[in-house]
Amino acid sequence: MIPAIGLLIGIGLGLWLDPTVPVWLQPYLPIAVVAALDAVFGAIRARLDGIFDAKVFVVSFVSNVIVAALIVFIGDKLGVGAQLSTAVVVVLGIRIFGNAAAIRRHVFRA
Amino acid sequence: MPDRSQPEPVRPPRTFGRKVQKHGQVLSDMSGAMLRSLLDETLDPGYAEAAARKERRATADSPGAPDGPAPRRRSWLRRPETTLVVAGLVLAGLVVGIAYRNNAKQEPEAAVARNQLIAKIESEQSYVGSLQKQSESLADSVSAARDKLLAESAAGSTLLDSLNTLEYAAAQSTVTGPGVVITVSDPKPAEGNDPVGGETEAPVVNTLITDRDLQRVVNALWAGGAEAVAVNGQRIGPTTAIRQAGNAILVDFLPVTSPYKVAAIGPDNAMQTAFAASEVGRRLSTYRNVYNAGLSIDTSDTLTLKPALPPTAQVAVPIGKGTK
Repeated sequence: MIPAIGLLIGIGLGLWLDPTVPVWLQPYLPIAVVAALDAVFGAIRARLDGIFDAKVFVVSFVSNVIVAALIVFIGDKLGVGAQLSTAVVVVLGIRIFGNAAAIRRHVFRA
Repeated sequence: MPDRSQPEPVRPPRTFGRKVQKHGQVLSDMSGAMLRSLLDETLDPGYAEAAARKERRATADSPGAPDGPAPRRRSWLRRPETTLVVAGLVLAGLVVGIAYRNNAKQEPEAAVARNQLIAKIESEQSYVGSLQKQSESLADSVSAARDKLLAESAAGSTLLDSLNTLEYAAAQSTVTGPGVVITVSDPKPAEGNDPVGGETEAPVVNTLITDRDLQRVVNALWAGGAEAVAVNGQRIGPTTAIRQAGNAILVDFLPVTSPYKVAAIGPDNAMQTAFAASEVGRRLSTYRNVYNAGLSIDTSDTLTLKPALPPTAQVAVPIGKGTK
């Protein structure tokens, strides 16, 4: 319950504060969003599986965001940024789907 | 995918590719294992490893404990853990919120600029239209006044006759009479042509009909004895150009769009024969049969063609009034 409130507070803060994102950071925002969603869905799934671990969650979240942004950054420098960000979105998207399916099985037993 | 309604057993650390030593199989095994792990192991393996570590520690602490499942549901009230999780989730929410705000901010900006441009184009277009109307009515009153003045004397009426002939030749007078209308149009874009998702760089425009086709249609009609020709209401005068600029066809520097109606006053049989026998006539009917382009020829008893825009003098300069 507390973590869910935390997530809502985070979304609310982001919407309310409305910070200006520097231009150089803007290409990485969508990737960061997908990585964050992946981490959140993974955490819910792990919680339902009974193997949740706070340290793993925080470390995997932060490192996933950083690595995803780094891949896109390097891709941008090498001229394949769009392709690499597609790859990141595809891989993380598959994971989100799989985790959402596992959560669904936990919740609905179906 | 296996059913995971029960907490799945903790997996050993992955060692794909390492078990198989034969070279040929390593590669196919690797790619297969990669895809399988991508589709199956949607959960970060870190969770499983952490759980395994915890279990090992628990069994080491109490060797006599039964081999039950890992201790589930750790207390959420343990302070450092909860703060860590909440901090992580706040961060995740922050990223999502900022991204939403950022995206919402960018879209209207582009839309506002676009709408402003569209409004400006439309107002300029209507302004041009009103100026054109004004110019036409002024020209009408000028020629009416001139006709009235010239008709008063004998010398004036001969002048008026030659003036009328010249004006007709320069396509500066409204003419009416029987003729043909040849309608040519680009093929309609195929159904389901829309690319799925994403934005198209520019809308797909099927421009099969080019300026040259229209030029040749007009020339074929002249050859068939046409006395006056207009394309989409734009009269073709001696100096009128039909040109292409990008995807648009300009007649007398004004854009015309498909369907193109080429109206010609003259002997309709001769013009139809000339058009049908011309190279462009055959080509356009091929376009109609093969590419589904539009082509129709209609005769009309009364066509009325408005005068062309007066040609702009480029070298000539009018002298002061009073010269006769």
